[in-house]
Amino acid sequence: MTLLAVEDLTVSLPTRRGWARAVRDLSFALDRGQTLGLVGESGCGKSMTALALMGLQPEGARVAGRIALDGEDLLTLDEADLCRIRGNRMAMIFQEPMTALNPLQPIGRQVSEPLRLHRRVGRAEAEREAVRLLDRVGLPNAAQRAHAHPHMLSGGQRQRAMIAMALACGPDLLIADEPTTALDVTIQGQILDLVIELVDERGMALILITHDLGVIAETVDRVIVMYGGAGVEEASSEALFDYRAHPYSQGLFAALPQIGLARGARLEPIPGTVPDLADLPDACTFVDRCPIAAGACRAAPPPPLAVARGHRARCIRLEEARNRSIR
Amino acid sequence: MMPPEESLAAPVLRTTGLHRRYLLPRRALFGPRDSVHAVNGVDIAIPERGSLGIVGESGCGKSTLARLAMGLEPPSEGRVEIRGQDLAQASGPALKLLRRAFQMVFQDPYGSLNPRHTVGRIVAEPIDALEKPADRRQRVEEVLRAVGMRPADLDKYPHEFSGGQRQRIAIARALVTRPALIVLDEPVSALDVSVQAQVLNLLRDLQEQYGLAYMLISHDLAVVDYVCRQVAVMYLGRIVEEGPASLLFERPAHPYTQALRQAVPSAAVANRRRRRARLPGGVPSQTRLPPGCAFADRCPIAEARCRVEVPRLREIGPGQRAACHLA
Repeated sequence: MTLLAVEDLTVSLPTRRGWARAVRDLSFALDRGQTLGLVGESGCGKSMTALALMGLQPEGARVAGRIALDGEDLLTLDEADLCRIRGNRMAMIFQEPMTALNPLQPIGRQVSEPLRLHRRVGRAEAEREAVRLLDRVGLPNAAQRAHAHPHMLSGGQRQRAMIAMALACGPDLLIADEPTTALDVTIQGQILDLVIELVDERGMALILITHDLGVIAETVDRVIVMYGGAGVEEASSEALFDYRAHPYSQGLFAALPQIGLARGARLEPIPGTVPDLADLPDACTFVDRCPIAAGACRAAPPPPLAVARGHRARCIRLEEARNRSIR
Repeated sequence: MMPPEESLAAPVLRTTGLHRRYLLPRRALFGPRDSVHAVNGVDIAIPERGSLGIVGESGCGKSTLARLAMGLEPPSEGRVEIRGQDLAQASGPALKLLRRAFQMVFQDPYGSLNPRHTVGRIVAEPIDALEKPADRRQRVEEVLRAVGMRPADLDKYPHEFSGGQRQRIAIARALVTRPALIVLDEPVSALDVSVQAQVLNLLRDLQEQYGLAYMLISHDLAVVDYVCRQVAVMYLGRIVEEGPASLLFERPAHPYTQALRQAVPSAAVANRRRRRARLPGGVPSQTRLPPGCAFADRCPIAEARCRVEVPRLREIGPGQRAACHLA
């Protein structure tokens, strides 16, 4: 049975200019052991998707569609039921562990908290388990460090502690929102390796949210490229890094500087700027910046069309996109 | 650091034996005061029209180096020369004249522009402070056009612009004195990929058009590779390797450069199983520097000698120098 099935997920936020649709008709499915990346620029809806999955969307937001975890629709549950699932069957790690961890509590206590809450494990036993978890995520001298407060750890160590906390109850689904963006590149590598090891070892499903295409390439099996709240392209990582079908995905890759890009080669920026969600048309969200947009693109939101097996893009001009000469 | 054909004229920026230490508060009433060694003996030279990228992880001293080069704070030891003139010796009117020659662009396009001033006033600020020329308005309009904005934007305020446009305004402000050198501290790291490419292309074009020299500070190797001909890699306040970007990124000689190069996830091809040799640990304390090579504790090939003897930068190939006993 599919672990997580998301169908037509739409998240609308109230703004002074009316409802802004931060996530539009997003659908995907994920099994245990599978890894999915959500990639896109700021305001594309990737983080809002994660928050909605966890039931942590901002107050006043409207969430529509279906989020089924093992067949149970999370959108029909009340807060008490969600609390039973959050941190237990699905857990999340955030970009900035300094703000996600409690500064006043030793990290061992924080790591043991989900066990005490969800599993009714006694304090001493939970804290012993916390040390085992901290050791597993590679925190040096875990037994002593369990007594340390977050500010006494480095950024990488804090992120390890947060991963330990997320793992405490052995969740089926781990959501990681830009888990390495605040870290230096050599530390980023260590943390990504750890996440992948744990996913393989425990057979969890992983949703990794990032703006970094390199991180996607090295971490996940499947990718959804998001723009303006819509999932514009979905494919296996191999297929996407081999061929981009959607003009936005094409533009995103062509704009990315890469080491060893031929000298004299020029980046191809996407004209214009990342739009405000409240300003987006009820059509293709990329239409205003798209180099091959046509009249029909403004008429209605494009349906997902097949590019190849397991590879879909929401674009009605896939042929024209295929004929573009772009890196 | 100096290509032979350009070494005759005085470089636009030269630092010699540059050190910067910050004193920490006393731990005990009569205890000694520790100091942080942010920059620890750095020699660089940037010729007219040259471009030097400084890369390294947080705490390596790259931003302090930029501030020293701009004369925003005095070095603890060593000297900074702009076009052969010692910055510490120049004072009052002489410094004002010299100030025209070098300008800076900061990372945060939101924090570095005064929200209460119009774009026209912001961009004119350096010339207003230095000379109040008669052709003030033409010059402001000219640089605004040069960065791809319209003269009509002159009377608007920063909040009316996106992050990318604000960074263009900051670049226009740096250009308006017709400087020989612009120091760019993480100029695109707050921008989304699609917008980042616009600014990177602009930086390349402006260098060509105005004959500028750049010192570009970045944690992103690909950004440095795209804009700069020369690169210096810093670790704990020292340059550990320097040379032409093409050579240094293709054949890094210092084990730290190699690790840094390896750690950057590549978006060229997707491969979730691509495991790499990772550097263990994190950047050590800058308070007590180890006696030998500062990198020895994390270095995969360190020998006994590395822990006692500080390696000097030495020529290891044409134009490429590394501070490693074993390179």
